[in-house]
Amino acid sequence: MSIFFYCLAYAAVIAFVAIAAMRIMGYLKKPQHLRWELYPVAHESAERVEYGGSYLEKVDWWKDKYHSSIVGALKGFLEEALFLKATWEHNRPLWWRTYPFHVGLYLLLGGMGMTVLAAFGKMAGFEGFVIFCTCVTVFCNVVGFGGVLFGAVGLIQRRLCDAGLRKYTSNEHFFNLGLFGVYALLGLVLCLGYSAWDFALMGNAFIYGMLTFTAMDVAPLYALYLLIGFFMFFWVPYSFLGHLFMKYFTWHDIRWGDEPFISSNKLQNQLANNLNLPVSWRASHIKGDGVKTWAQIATEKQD
Amino acid sequence: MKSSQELTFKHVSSEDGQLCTLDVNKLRPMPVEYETYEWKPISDAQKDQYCCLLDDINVLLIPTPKTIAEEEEMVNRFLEGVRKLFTPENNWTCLAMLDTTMDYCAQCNSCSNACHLYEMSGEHEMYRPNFRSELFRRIYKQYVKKEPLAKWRYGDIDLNWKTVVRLAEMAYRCNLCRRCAQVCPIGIDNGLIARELRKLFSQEFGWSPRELHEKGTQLQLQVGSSTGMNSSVVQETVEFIDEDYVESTGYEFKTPWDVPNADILLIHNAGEMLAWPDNIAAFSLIFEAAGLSWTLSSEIAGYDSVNYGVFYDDVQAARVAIKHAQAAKKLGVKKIVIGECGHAHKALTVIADRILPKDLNIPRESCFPLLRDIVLGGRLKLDPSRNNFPVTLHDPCNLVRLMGVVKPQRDVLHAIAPMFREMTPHGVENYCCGGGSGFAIMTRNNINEWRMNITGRKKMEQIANAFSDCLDPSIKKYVCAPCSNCKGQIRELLQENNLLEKNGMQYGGLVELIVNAMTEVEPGFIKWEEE
Ligand code: SF4
Ligand code: SF4
Repeated sequence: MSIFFYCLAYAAVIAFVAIAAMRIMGYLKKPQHLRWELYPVAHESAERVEYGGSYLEKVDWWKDKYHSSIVGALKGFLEEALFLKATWEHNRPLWWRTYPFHVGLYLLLGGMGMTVLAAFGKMAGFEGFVIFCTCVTVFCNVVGFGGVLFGAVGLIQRRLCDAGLRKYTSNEHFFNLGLFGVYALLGLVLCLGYSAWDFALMGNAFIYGMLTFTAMDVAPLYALYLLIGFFMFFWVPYSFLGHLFMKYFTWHDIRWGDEPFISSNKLQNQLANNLNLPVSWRASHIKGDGVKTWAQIATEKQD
Repeated sequence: MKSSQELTFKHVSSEDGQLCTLDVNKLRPMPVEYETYEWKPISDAQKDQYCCLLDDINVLLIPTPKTIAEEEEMVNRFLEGVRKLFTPENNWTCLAMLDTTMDYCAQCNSCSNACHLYEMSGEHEMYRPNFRSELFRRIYKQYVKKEPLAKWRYGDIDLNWKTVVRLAEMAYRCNLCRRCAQVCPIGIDNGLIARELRKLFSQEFGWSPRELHEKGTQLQLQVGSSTGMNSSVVQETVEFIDEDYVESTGYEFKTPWDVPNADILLIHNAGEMLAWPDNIAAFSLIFEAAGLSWTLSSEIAGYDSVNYGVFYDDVQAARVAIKHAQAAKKLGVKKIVIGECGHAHKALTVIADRILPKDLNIPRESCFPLLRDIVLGGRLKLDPSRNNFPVTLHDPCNLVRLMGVVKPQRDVLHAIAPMFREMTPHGVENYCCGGGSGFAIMTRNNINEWRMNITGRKKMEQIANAFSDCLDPSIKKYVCAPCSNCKGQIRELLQENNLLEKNGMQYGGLVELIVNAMTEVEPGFIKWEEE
């Protein structure tokens, strides 16, 4: 039984990495898209970010080197990731529910990271480090479960009671929120049942077992908790919850993607390829036959 | 018909006849005297001939299918179009944005309140930014992507010909202002979905508003301008404008045409030449007074910066952008400067940037930084006291939110308009004028009523609020709208409601204000009477 659990655990980790990689690669493999930026663009100069300006505000802008501030981009991204700034500004009632939910998830992820570190510490024989990691895990688990449970219940309530939101809430939303809610509830019950410290040690032992390929017995309730966790490893990257990592592209590559053609050879090559793609749109002003290229269609003489 | 509260996705395919209507008498009152525009009834003949199935407005005039086979053909062709929309070959331009918008929306509805159509329609479900997107998303996932358990996960949608024609019409209940996208926490873009749908229906079915296609891009590609003016007519027109304004301003200037190797090719929205010749004259006057090396082009499309393709069709957008670049290349100019037209700015600087091949990628810039440098650089003799009246600034979405050109026009206004005041909100958070995405040039089939009642309502409210301290008609005030389409829409808002007479509100571009302040020009360039 415990071997089976460990196999599932490996499968869950592999599924997460594989599905996330597939989605990211799927995005990166797409042809270079048109510029579709929205201002403010966070990697502009601080002064321009303040009011939403761009390098296009300068005469002969192409004579300057294209500049993209990593610090600015990071600041813009962290503000959104850590504080859910857009939701705070534009959907406050939701923020009070979704913020604890997201912070709870971040903490649980952090707790998981600490559990992995503790397992490495144990392998290396650093007892003090293991204790430190376990202390952090206890904090992350308790606050994380609390946040996720509060957020999940709050979001379900909001989706049920807000008439506008209700129409847009599908079975999948309830399923997702229910899943996270049950997971967090089980986590809290286990923390109460075994003590938060012992619960963290169970996590340490499980991950240690995974890293050293030594299966250990798993209590039934803990097994259920793990099963839900494994499923989420597969489900998060598969479903719309994948925005967890795809948001990097929607913000960084699309919303802030202002790099001009003139400054990048790579862009120039990609765009040259695009113009050679075949078109098959059927309308009479295009008459794409799947052979004629964009370049040909865009330059052919009109009837 | 379904009320806003009743309306759900299922009704889009299940209901016969017109799906919903808006009670225009319940719209939010305005801070100034403003008319209510009752919907004109749709005649039985029209209902018979065309699919009038969504609301009181009919942008596309899609012929009603007469047989079951025709209905099925519509659905099949739609599905074929959706499939193409998701192939890199047919939609390399937007596939990345489309795919992420399809897959990662959290349905949080944070975008709803950002949309002026949703707000000013009294939060009608039909005009919620996400209504159209989510309907399309569910269809895509169930019928094209065929996701496992899609019906259970997202809700079952019946796809029939009514769904198709309603979706097509819904694509034209959006100004493509992308204010909704700006507030989205995930980076999902409902404006993009409206445009992708417009593309699908234009590129696959050939369904598009005639103002944008036949009388828009097609006419421009064939004749040279969507106004219908060919090269010789346009040169004559500008010659007349020069003569008129030399006489009225007392300032000698002549607009140069086809000057080889000039520094600047200036491309106007040719609509200005017919509707607002003062804008054309003001540009010529400023550029001549500043001593620039510049020219207009008489090449096909080289004298009309309009590119309606950006509103509905990627192929047409590419064709027009290429014509613009070819005109510049032929003359050997150093750069293209785009006159006061927001969508032309975005089309030629931002969108065309990833369409034009290297040999045609001639540098292109907005006129506003140049005007700022001319004004602040002291290249004109200006007396700001000539503009001593309240001025507010409308921010064209294409120029500001979608291009980040925010400050130059404000620098000019701060220098020449002592009573300049901002609207709330402004800059990148501005609201669309209501004419965006092509509506400014459409009036038929209740589109005018749609613009006056709904799409332009927020802008009108903003304008009135910006002037709330001086609504008295004796105080002349100026709405600076540096974009042809926005100006067209604001003209309708003000003129249809007689607001020049009632509240002293006039509108115009930025260059007109600059010339109005030039001491070498006879005072009174801006006229305060209805022309
Ligand atoms: S588009 Fe963005 S803001 Fe609107 S519902 Fe989707 S995730 Fe929320
Ligand atoms: S793009 Fe503008 S008009 Fe269209 S849905 Fe979004 S906010 Fe509304």
